[in-house]
Amino acid sequence: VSDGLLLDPWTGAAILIVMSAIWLALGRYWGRKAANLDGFMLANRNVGLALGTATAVATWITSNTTMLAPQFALELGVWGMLAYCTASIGLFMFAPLAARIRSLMPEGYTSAEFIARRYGNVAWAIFLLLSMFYAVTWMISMAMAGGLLIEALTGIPYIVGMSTVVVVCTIYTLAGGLFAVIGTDFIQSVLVLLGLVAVLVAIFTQVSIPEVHAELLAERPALLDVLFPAALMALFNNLMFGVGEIFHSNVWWSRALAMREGVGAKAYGLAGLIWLPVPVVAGFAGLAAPALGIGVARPDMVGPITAGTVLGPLGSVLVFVVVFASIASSVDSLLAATSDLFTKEIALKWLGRAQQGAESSDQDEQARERKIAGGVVLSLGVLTWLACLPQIGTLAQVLFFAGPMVASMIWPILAGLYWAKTPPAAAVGGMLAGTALGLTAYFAVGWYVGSLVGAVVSAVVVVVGTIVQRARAGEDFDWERLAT
Amino acid sequence: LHLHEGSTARVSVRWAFAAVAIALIPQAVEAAPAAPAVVGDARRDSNNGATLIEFELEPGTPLVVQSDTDPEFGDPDIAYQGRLPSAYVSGLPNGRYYFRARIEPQTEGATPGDWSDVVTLDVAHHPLSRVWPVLGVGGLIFLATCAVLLEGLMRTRASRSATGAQRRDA
Repeated sequence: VSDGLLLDPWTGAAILIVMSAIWLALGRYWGRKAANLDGFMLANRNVGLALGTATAVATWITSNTTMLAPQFALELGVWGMLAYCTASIGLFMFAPLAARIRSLMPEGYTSAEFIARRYGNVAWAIFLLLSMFYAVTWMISMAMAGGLLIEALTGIPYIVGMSTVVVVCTIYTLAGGLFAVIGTDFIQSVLVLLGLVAVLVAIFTQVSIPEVHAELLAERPALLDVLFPAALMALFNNLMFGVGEIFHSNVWWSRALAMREGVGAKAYGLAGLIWLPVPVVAGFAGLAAPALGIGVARPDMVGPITAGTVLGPLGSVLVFVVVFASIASSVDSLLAATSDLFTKEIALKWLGRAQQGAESSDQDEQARERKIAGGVVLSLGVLTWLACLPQIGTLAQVLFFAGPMVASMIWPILAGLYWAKTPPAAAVGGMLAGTALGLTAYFAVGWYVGSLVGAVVSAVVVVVGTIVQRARAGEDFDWERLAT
Repeated sequence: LHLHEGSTARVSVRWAFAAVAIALIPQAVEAAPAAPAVVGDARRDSNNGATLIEFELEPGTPLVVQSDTDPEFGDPDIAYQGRLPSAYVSGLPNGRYYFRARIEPQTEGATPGDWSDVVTLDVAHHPLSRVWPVLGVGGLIFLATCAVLLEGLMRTRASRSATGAQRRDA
């Protein structure tokens, strides 16, 4: 580690080239199976337990987990580390939902499709708007984070690093669809987990937990405080943000629909268990930095710098591989899932109407849909690259205040999947009121209540709407409508 | 002015020393770098005991950042020492803290740079009276979400078993 860099630019570039070549070759190899729309978007709905678990773990281990978890630990202490772990609760809670989604919509494609069939077009439009805003912002911020991280760790210019991430992910997603995304996710999750274990072992060879504790107590005592106010307030807000992200996002729905029957619940449950210790390991790297004598110049760099320091030159290569794998596993998943939303909810609806009346065989039709889906992936990749060019530093902030939006979708989805009485008005009201009041709380009170208020307001509206519908003896929703 | 040989030699040596001294003046000035400029406000508040202090410096410049609760820096700690132009402090209890930075000498014996402007940080953590309602509401909504999920799960399982039993009876 010299001049704040983990690796020199040439070593970094060599790793980028080798890893990019591997992802591209695998994308091309797996792409042979993605001949039609089901294959391209949902891996022929035949994903098993191992790949299903790995893709959920890899998608949820974003560059945020490897970079932000150490930052969270260093900023909010032990509670901050545990607050980050609550993101795994979203995976646990989605496990039964995944089974329910698969059984109710065996032929379904997207989360927006569920909202349209369950609640109608108004709810669909609002959901699509909120969901697209979140997905696109998350994807652009991930690609930007990739460029910035590569530059910070190796000195490779931002434009080169960002372009590598976007171009490589777009090409292998375009070639192999969800097959390529899930396959590469499996390898990426194994790399990330091995890397984190190596870092933890290396830290313990150089410093003990009592030494870390003593250093923190002397220099940063609030990090060990059981009543650390900011950390305690972040706890449930983070939890609701994570649950909202997973419940609404097509990233998770497309995987639930792609898994074989009976696999979804187990895969998401296992993924939660595997993911749970990841923020603790990554966070401990942040907490151990002062005891290891590592100067903390920037909180977002403390994880990789600590790992690079304790593992030496070979370890620095491993850390860079882990960081690149975690970025790629998130960008490809977002690219595939967001393209699915565009393809099914916008492109195929419009183009389908335009082509009505034209006679074509099923095979021609599937090939045409596959081509459209590929075009959408390519267009989204190009748009992401263009949006990343200006290197806007505030985009992560935009993503952060999307918390109230995603949290306001928890209860409309939960009630929509289990309560036949919940009317469309309750879902629409819940999403709108939750988003509006959550955002108001975010700006008027603070970031630590935005998602929480969004979830609470939305829950109240959905529950009251359902009770009113029940009191009026309103119609029950016919679950069969989701299957058609 | 008439000077004999010896005095000419002494004058020449003096001139040579003077010339060397004059020649060294710019180097001496270069060896004492200017104080690093603080990016952002010099007076800050924090409700989580953390702040990022950045300086306008080229990455790679050796920097030392001191912290103290005494504005005169009577007993300073080193908050950061390295080659990145920033320092991140966290985990501070309530109170007022002072920070300053300077560029470290590149070679042994060289003069260190001037100290930067002092950054003053006032840490006042959120009162616990604000924490409990947030925790309480958060806990309630979380438990309510779990309850709906579990109730739905049990109901769908029960209905699936009932359907299975009906099929077996048939």
